[in-house]
Amino acid sequence: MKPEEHRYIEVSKRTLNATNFGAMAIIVSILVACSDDWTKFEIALGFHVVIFPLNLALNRLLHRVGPRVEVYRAMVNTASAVFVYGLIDWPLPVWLWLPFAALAYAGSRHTIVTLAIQCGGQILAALAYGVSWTYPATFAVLTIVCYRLARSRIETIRTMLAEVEAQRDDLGRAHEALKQEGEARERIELELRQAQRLEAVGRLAAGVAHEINTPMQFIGDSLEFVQEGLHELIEIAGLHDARASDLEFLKDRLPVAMALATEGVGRVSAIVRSMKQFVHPGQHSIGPVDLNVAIENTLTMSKHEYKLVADVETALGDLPRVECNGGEIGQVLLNIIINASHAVSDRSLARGLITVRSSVQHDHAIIEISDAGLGIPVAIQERMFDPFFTTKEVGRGSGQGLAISKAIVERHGGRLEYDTVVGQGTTFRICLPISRPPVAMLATVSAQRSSNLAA
Amino acid sequence: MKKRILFVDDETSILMALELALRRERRRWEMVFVHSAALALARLGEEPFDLVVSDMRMPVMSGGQLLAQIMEQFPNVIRLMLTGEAAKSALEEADAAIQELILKPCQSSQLRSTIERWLEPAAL
Repeated sequence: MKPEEHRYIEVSKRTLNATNFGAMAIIVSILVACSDDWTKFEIALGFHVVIFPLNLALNRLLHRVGPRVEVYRAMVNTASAVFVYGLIDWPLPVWLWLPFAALAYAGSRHTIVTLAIQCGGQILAALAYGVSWTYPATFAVLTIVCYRLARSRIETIRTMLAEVEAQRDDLGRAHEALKQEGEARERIELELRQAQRLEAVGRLAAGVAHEINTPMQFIGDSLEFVQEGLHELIEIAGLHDARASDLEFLKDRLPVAMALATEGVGRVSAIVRSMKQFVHPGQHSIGPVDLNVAIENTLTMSKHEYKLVADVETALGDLPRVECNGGEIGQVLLNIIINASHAVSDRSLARGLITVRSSVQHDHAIIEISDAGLGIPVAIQERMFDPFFTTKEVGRGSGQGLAISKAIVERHGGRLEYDTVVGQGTTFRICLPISRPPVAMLATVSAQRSSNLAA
Repeated sequence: MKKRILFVDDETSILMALELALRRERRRWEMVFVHSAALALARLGEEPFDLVVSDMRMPVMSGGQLLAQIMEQFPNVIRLMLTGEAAKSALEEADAAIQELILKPCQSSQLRSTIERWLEPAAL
């Protein structure tokens, strides 16, 4: 059975009450027509009291057993009815059954057979009883008209149902496609974030290599000198000679060499430590983060990006630890600091200033990164958070930094704001709630998961 | 007469360490250390030098730009670059001006022998 056929049977059940009402009305009419003769009335009443509930019961059964029962029902009904109608002298209302049957049963499968049995049986029986042909003929015509009307209505309903069904399928497919698209987008966003991270790390790796090489150079030189110096010192000490000036020089410079070497080692470790914290996989979870340390780390990491074009001033206030994903917030800081250094370097050849401030306002931690760059033109402001929108030349940025930064900050229940004055500079403000990220954020994620499972 | 060498690096730590590491050579080389390209050009204008060793990445004027200017203004000065720059592209721009590239970190003996090779080619 086609789905729309199934739907049609479901829908046609709803007309059952109207059908029953029609049958009742006809029975009452028959009874009224017999009311002048007590015997006929009793016969009609007795017959209908039995046959009507029987038909109601059969109607219910019909949908379960199948339409073949309808044929038997029509036979039994017609046989018993014509016998009773003979007893009550064929009153006019009994002919109402014919158009009624055409209207009520036009939709069922064995309609023609049932109608033929019912109408044919009744007409033949009436004629056999010697009833005038006018009523049977008139009602036969009416029955045919009713049947045609009902049939065409039913066809219309069936077509509409089929259309609705088809539309429902289309909608289902569209819904499925939309869902898959959403999942694909989610996946792509994840990949983009990963790619952006790799891009940032890759760009920094070259800088970090340079940053490490510089301290390594003076560590090596200093240690070499210390070695030589010690050698000479031993000689001098052994000689007890009057080379006092050399001794003075060594006394003066050996500590300097040692201090340089120590500082160099410290710097190398700091760079390596920052790099580790930046890429460390353990930071992909939410936990209490000291944002000031995160700022210092990011500045060390990105020193290569800004040190030629800008000085960085920090004014870091007392911050409580903030519940956030340290790795992601580090990424946001890095993106904005790199943008700031690009903004400053676009301005002129002279060195500019980048200021990083942190503070607490109510229940939010605020990080402000200001650059003395050119500011952001109004035309660009509305697009700058769009993914892949960039004003930078190829190799300097892919246009994902701000889009991803905004997404990260908002996922933390925070805000990424900016103030900009064209020609004077830009301040980006990261506002993060100090306490746990709002439950809504977690709830959305788990709701998405469960809807994915349900689908 | 002592050969005169000018070292340019924005990191004073590098300059101090170089000074110490090359101290042994003070009897044959006169070494001057400056921490910016502008200072280097000023010193070159004041007194003659035989050789310049410059860093690449420096604020305002890079080592590449400095060596290019020296090539133009003081063509007789030998131009070496001592850099930790890993990116080839940055170096290619200054390629013409660099007579030899020494990568950081390098041992002072390596630096010393490179300078020697340029200053006293006859000795080899």
